Amino acid sequence: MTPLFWRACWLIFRKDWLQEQRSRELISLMTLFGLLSTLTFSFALQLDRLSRVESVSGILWVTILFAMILGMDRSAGNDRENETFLAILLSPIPRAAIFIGKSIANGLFALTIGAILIGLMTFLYNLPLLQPMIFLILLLLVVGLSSVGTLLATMTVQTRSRSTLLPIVMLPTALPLVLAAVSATIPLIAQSDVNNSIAMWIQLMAVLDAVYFTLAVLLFDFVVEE
Amino acid sequence: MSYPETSSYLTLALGVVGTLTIGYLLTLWVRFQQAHKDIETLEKLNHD
Amino acid sequence: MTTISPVSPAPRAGLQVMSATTLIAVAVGLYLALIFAGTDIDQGNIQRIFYIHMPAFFGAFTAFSATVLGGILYLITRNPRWDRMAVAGVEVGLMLSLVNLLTGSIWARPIWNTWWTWDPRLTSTAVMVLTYAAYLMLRAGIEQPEQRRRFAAVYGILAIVTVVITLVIIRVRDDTIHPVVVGTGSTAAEGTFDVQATRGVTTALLFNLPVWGLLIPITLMMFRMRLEQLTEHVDRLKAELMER
Repeated sequence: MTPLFWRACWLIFRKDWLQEQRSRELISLMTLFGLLSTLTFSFALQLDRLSRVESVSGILWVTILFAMILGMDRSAGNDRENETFLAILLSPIPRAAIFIGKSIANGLFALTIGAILIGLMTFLYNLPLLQPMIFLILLLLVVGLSSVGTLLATMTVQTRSRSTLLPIVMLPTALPLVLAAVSATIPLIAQSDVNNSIAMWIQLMAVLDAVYFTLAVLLFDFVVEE
Repeated sequence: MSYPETSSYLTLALGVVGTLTIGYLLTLWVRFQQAHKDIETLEKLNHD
Repeated sequence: MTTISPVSPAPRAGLQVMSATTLIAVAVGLYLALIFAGTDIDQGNIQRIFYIHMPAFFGAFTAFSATVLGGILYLITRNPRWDRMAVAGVEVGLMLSLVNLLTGSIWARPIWNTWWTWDPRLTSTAVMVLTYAAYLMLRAGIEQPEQRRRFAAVYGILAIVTVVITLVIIRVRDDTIHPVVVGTGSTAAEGTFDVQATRGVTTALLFNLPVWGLLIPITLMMFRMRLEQLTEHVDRLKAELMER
């Protein structure tokens, strides 16, 4: 991986980041969705101050998953509309660099709204969510999901069914990560029996991230053969 | 030697297995027929 | 006008042999499972469905392995026959997974007193079914054949990784109530039966395992691949017609 390669990654990332700074489209979309989702779940599950730990853990990570799906789909859709993607593909930038730049951008947007949601839920449900470990779980979850998601979003945006397809292909592949995140978070919120259980889940998430990232980098070429 | 009477469940389960496997074979057969018919029609149209 | 190579009739012989062998093997397997093997003392006759339930799971795995293999080989060689194998694997695998899930559910009703439970093993099998159902949805949503094959191959690789990971997670978790017949199970397992206790259990299981685990998926996949060849021929003819 030459310095030129990393420079390419940085350029791609910077393009997405600047685009977002100007329009604020993705962050606002994802944040609003996150709020609405939390609200809907709260009503539907009738969660009040005495809310159950398992429910909140699940709601948090699933909401972030859905928000990421929304965001990545939008981001890929924008690329397609602007024809910037075609321009990038025609340039001599290596495909892997495009993928890395893009997934880091998607990941950062997700981390932002993830942090917002964690703060929000601490406030709404009166639960000790503001722990470093929970932010670690957020990071691990986001890394894995943005790897797989960037790959899949780039794929589905080229199909006839477009946006309806991404949730369908993304949810199954996201399941192991979400399961691990939820399982690791429950003891942390309940603040009981922490050390035994979560070490395994955290390790699992790290392994999953490595696997998904590697796979996505390898497979990305096949998805952008124009 | 007596054992719990669960034979009806066994029959149900076997019925499900049969339905799924034979059902799948049937869908294959139907699609085969359709494909053969399409080929016949299209080849006739093509060679006109 | 471009010449279209006709779909060759040659594979018919192999297919006939496989079909005949499979039919006979299934019949023998059923005899062993339903008549030869002794009745389980604790569970009664419903236990016999196990001789199909477990092998069906392996059959599904065989089929899905063919899918990922076909996907990888397609991406390398770009030969459509590998994609045909991949899509055949998904359809047959889904059918066998449903056999596994539904027979398991029917077994569970008298034994666990419930049709379903969110036990790790069952959940992971359900995830597997949905993952591959999504594969078919993905294929259905892409019109251009080359793109469809390519994207399906990529997703097929992701899918098997997800499935394997989920299965590994299950083996690691010890809180499943699903009985483990091979290897050590958890103390929470309900409905385990001793393989040694009843006469003929090992024979019935060992015979049915390759039948449902290999013969049935391979034969069904051969049929499905042949169908795919025909369907592609139809599409080619249609395209040719459009050009005129």
